[in-house]
Amino acid sequence: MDEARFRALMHGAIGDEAMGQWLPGAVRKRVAQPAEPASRARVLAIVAAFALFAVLALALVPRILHRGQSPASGVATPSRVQPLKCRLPVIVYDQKPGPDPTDPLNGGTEVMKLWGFVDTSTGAFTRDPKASPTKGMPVAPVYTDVTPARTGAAPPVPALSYSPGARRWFPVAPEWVSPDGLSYAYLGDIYGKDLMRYDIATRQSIDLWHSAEQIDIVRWTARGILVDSAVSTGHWLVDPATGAVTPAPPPISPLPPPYPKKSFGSAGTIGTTTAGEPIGQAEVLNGQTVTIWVYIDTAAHKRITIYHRTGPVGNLVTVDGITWHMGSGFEAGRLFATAGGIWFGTLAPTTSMWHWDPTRGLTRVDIHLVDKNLLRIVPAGPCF
Amino acid sequence: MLVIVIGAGVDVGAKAADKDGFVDALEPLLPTAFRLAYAMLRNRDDAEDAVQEAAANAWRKRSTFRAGAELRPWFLAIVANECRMSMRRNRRSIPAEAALPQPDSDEAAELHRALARIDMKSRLVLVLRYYLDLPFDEVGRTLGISAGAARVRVHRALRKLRPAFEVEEGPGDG
Repeated sequence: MDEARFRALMHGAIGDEAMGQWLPGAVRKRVAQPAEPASRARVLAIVAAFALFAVLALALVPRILHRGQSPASGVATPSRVQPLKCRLPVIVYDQKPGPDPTDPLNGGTEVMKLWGFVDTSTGAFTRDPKASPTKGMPVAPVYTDVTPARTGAAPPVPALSYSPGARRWFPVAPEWVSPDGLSYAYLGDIYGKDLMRYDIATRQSIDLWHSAEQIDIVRWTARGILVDSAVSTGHWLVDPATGAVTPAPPPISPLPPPYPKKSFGSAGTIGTTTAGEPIGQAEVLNGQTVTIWVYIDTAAHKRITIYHRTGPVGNLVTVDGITWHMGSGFEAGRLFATAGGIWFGTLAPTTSMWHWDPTRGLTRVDIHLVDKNLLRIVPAGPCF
Repeated sequence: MLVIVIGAGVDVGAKAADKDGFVDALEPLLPTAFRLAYAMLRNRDDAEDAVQEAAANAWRKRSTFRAGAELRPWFLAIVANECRMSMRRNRRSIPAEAALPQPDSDEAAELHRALARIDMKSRLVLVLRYYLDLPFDEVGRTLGISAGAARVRVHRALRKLRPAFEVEEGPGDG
């Protein structure tokens, strides 16, 4: 064969991986680190001294370390991605058979089956075989851990979101990923009080805030990490660079009192993220109406309210004040909101996802899957 | 062959007066450096680590950059060396098959396996020439040898792929 053919074959054999967008930043940080030529003994002495200092510092002033960090706001430049001409990360769920296989929702448990991308212009699904598990990335320890570790020690967990900025899958909900995709927030202790930030470039976790009460991460917004209390009505914005905490106004409930906060009904999974954490609030009225609200970053604390009513003539969906008559082809399911709009997941037997934005309203995208019996398709990150 | 120059007056020397300027000069080379590391290590994480470590090494060795020389072959040589070190540290030359991208044809898959079988020096020279598409003189400067010696090394590396791959070498580019 000639050289041109061999050259093409080399590209086919090795693949054409592009570097992650975060790499230049990581290189800059790596070069900035002081490093002097040293003998092995000197290196060991320095490492030992540093370890001793770190242990003392962590024991005496646990929050001192993050105060000196360089700013890392995690804010991305505005995206010009066309929502119906992009690649949407998705996770496809299957169902383990349960005691009642005739019931599509209660007959078994959901299991993650496929990770990949949907071409939103064609609906074609492409599997990403490298998606799971997420190697070495920290997540919140679980109650079953015998000796819960703060960071890094957790076994690999399935990928829950994809970051186009880092070109990687992360083990947390997409709402917890920074706008630039290079960091994510998580709760670092079993009590849900330690807010942590993990940076993909440095592979380091930073302790941002130790709350007095159990908190939930709502989402990482352009203004900071929005968290709310799991036990009270408190809302806070946490600066991802410094850990500075400022109170945030609580969202106004679209429902009249006395509906309590987080009074999930039988549709308790609706309105949750892929990690099972509440993205907004979901309530069931008369067994048929679901109300969800989500945060969108186009304006500070902008909230979009979604009402989803199931009736004898099909579904009525009201998004931001406008109502669509959807027939039976819509299920609020799990959703993911970005500054440009909202992607809704789908539930078998339908295989259509829906996108909402203020100008187009709701648009259906039919997903082409080989196995149409798979249970659910869930958006797992921003389209890119 | 590295020539120590103090106070080099070339662009990178001037920029390299501070770390930010040095990284600014390196930044356009990072995609190529990553592709080299990925082709050698066959693992995305390892490749990214290697590029970061190579950049740090390049900063430490900046005084060895020869005035008037091109930055790319100098930096790629450091990246290649870091890949060698990485493979030694990891005691592996290729990752588990499951982690690799799937070649898009049987022939590509065969070449994929053949590249894994040959020695690292041969693989490096093939990657530089046929994956990064470098001319012979730049392959040579990256390896610290002449363009003619680079051509010979490429020829020998191609021979190691036989009989599966018989490549008719062109007239070259110097």
